[in-house]
Amino acid sequence: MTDLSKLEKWRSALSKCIRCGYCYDQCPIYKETGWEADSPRGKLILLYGMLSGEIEPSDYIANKLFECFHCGRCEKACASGVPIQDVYNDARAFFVESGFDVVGTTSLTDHDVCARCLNCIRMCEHEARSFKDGKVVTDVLKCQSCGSCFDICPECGVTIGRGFGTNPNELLDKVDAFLNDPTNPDAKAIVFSCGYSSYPGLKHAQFDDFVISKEFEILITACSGRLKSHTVLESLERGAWGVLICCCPEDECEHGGSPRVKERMKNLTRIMERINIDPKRVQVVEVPQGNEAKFVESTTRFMDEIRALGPLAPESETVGSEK
Amino acid sequence: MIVADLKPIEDIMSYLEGHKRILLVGCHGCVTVCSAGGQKEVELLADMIELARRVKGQECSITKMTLERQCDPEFLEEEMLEKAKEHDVILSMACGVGVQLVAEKVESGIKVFPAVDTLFMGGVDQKGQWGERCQGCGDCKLPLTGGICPVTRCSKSLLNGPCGGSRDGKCEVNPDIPCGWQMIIDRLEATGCLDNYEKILEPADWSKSFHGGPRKYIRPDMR
Repeated sequence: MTDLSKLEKWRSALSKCIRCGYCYDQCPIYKETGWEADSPRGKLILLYGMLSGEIEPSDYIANKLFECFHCGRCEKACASGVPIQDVYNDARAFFVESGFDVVGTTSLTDHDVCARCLNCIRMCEHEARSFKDGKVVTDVLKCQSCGSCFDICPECGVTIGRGFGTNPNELLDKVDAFLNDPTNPDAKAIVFSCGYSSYPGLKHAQFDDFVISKEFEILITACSGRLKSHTVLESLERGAWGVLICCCPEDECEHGGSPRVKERMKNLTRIMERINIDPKRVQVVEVPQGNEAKFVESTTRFMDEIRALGPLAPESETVGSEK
Repeated sequence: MIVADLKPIEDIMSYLEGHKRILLVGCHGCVTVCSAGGQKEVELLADMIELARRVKGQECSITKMTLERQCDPEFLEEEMLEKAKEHDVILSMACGVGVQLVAEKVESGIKVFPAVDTLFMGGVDQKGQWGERCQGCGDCKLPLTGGICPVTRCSKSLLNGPCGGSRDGKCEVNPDIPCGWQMIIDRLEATGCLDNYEKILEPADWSKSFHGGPRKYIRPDMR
């Protein structure tokens, strides 16, 4: 029999949820799937069902609880003041202690390809990774699903079970879909936007069918540090005229991703310059959380520069003479 | 591990000039661990080469692969040599050892170039930083020097140091370099072995190092 006593203390807190759905607007996972069980409200209802004995704990529910980017915006938006993150934390601990198989959005390691370089352990701001019994392992209770370890791994050995649109292959699919949309000849650029800072102000109450610009597509990463250099270069190869990356101000980034993505892009643009590709095609800008004006100003300026550069075509660049 | 760094892209592009079919080969060994030439770097360099060629209006086809180790001929034979025949040029992201093994084993007529500069044998100082620890002199002094190598950590490779250029624990060659001999003395003191410092090290037999020509290591028991 599963011991739910640890969760009993949250029974009244769970009863406080009035099912208003204000958390919907804030949750990047729900916005990607539109599926009730992916929303904070749905997850609270699942937990309530477990406590009331109507449903049994299962791997499915366990994974739902671990599918979270830890932004905490649901809690800020909650009309009833449910301490959602605290409830989640205890529920996650319950599922782990009870031996349920959890993956969710946490970052795991493919041991078959892992080079044991340990770089992912060193860079994890949450100390969620460690080397035990000859393997790099993740403490799923500490992992914040930021994915900053993605581009640190030299072997593509970091795996994130469900990316909800933020995993590298999902991002590239969206890049392709936007750039190759026959109904949108205006498609020009990709804006990768941090899910913790620029995203909330940007799409506060909007869903995917909301179009800000036909010229650029906004793709949400979790942390900007999750964005792989390869994804940026592939975007250019697949036809983007330019790529803008919106990250948190460095002192606001909780995952260490913001300074890293800046350094990575500095390296990329330095190389691009040497192969006669204008470095202005790949830019990084800090957008503080909720600062929509900065986002709009940044994208407007970026698009002006990209339009002036034109498509990335043979012999189109004149960067050598510009510098 | 052997630590390496990507060569300037313009150098790499100059090697590939005039070649269309490129085999880009990474290594799962040291250069993966120091993030210079593993699978991820193969992907990135391939992207860069393709973009560079596209800007120039030149075509190219790149085959990407990453071998278990390029310093073992068996891995080359099993995974790469046959594939190499379909290419004009091989760009190796392994250390200098790997590049040379590839050049030795691959069919004559196929050019082999390095994509990285091999830097040194070293270890991790801190995240994102590697430091040199060994020069492979063939006559390890570490038992007498508190586990800190005078040949590598002293900028002048002095066997009886420090020199007069040691100031406040720093080296006169560069104030960012800690004085190797100061570190040795501190370590000897901390381990109660300062008597070792009084022993004068004899001049090194550099014939065991590179000065005796390329070295071989032979294990008859493994033949």
